[in-house]
Amino acid sequence: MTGLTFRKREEPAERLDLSPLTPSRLAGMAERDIAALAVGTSRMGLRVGDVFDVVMGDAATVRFEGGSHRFDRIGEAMETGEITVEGDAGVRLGRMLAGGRVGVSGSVGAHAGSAMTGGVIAIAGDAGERLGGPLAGEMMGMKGGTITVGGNVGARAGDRMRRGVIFVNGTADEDLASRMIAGTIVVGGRAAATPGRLMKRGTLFLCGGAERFAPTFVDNGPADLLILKIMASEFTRGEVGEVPFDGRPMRRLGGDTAVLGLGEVFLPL
Amino acid sequence: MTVDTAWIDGRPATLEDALQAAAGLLDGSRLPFVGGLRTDVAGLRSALSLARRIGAVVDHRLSAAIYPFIVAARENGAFLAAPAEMRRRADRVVVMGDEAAEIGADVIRMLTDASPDLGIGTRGSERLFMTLGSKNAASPGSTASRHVDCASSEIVDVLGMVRAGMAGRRSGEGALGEETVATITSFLTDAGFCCIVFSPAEFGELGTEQIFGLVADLNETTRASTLPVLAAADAMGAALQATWTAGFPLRFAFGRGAGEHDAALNAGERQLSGAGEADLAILIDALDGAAPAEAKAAIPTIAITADPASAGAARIAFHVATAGRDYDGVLYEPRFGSFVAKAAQRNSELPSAAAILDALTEQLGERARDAA
Repeated sequence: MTGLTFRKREEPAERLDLSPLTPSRLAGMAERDIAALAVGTSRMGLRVGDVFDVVMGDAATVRFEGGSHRFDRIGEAMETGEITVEGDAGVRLGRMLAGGRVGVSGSVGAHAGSAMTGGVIAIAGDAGERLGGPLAGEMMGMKGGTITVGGNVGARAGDRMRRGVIFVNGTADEDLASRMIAGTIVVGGRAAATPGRLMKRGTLFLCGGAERFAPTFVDNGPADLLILKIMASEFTRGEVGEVPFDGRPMRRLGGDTAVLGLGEVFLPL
Repeated sequence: MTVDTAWIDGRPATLEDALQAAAGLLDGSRLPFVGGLRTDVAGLRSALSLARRIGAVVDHRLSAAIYPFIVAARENGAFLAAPAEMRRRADRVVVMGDEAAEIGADVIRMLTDASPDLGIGTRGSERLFMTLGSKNAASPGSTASRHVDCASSEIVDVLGMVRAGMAGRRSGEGALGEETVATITSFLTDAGFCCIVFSPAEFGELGTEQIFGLVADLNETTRASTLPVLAAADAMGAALQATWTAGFPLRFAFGRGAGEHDAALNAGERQLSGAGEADLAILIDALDGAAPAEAKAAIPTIAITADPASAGAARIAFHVATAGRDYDGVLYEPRFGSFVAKAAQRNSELPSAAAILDALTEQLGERARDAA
């Protein structure tokens, strides 16, 4: 049985809050009730039926046919099921995700995976600023689960990250892993300056190197660690897939000693 | 001779016609933007009230200058002092960066003009100054000042080295040598009460967090605080008023009734450039003193301004009086860190921004009643 499909009619003139369209919230709802769900963010009061053609199906899988950079909050607080977006998505994709899977074929806006605790987010294109990061006033960013990005990520990916894994195939913009508390980030391409600013703990693999580090990252020399081989093999077997390091020795930096200094950064030798 | 006070598409109009035309534009708008916000407390109150009624996005024209401070303070906490207390208590002052001496000249003068007379450890001491930046920012009148030359872009890294050293952790090679970093460290740690004067806009969100973090570290062993100086004092006043009115320091939207905050999506620059979702802007510019020229808005505008020549291609324009100059106004004053009343210096026949905004809100109410 095919999933429940939202087919975009035309590009919306305003940002849409699509957080009500998760599998658990749509389960058992009639088509008329789904079409009446409010998704607008202006005083026009837009509803699902104003923006999408709804094709009913098993709500355990929700599909957006045609995306938009204004499709915000897709998969917010989802606990189970699957959402796929054919196209782009807006801000806060998979925010507070607890389980299930969110897949996007295009690129997404800021705060994807913000404060998520579990599940998987797979973005084929680029991700905007603060991937996995907290919203204003929140103390922690990503707290679990896995995010994979096929393209590049914007500034401050992994901000205040506490647990979980972020894999970026492309490059990372400035201040990757700022204020990181723990967790693991793997970047295939180059990281702009200055990765790890104010990070307390956590692990970065910067396989394409970095523009520069703050002087509060101390070079520990080459590290030939068994854990690198174990991690590479575990990533390959899991959601992340093949990673651009294979367990061979890497150069290790420790930092940011301005705060606690227990974070580690691995670079190619 | 009568003075024109309102224009429709550049042609003089009566106030009533202009208000009706503006209300017509607002009625047809999907998502209006209320910005500029260069006005007094009464004007801001009226602007926020109108914004709530029309479901608008709200931001101040110069909020980018205060956001590094707001973000760092709300996400990590901050040691903040009143200038008047630092004038009496601080025995050491660090003027950090290249912008502070210029933006905070008044505040720095308050510190150079007096010596500490409060605190057991600081009372009666000579006040020592250190400037850390690429220019010597020593203030006139202070002979007890030393300068450490450091490019502005390197200061955040140097402060990281200071923090690492204070905690007994290692750091690598930075812009300044170990000896100079040790000199800065001892200047801070040997103080009875150290005060850091800096411009958050110069150092950005993470840089400002580094400075607040350094002051938090210093307070483990001594006393220290900060005086962040802001280039846009009225933006800070608007942010405070927006917070007590709608719960957020600007950059929020009333589209769904209650205010919803997003510092990136609701930024005025984004909305006025046409990249946002707003389709009509109300821009308020009714304070004395020049503000940086605003980029031409890509969406239709209703201008409420003390300088009609600046209204440009606004669809509707209203000429209003300047708060605190043409009539008594309450404005944010950075030297006090709060709002102060400012008496009028001359008489004016022009209406206040608040009066125009309230009349516009009233006009919208009448139209809604007529339509019902």
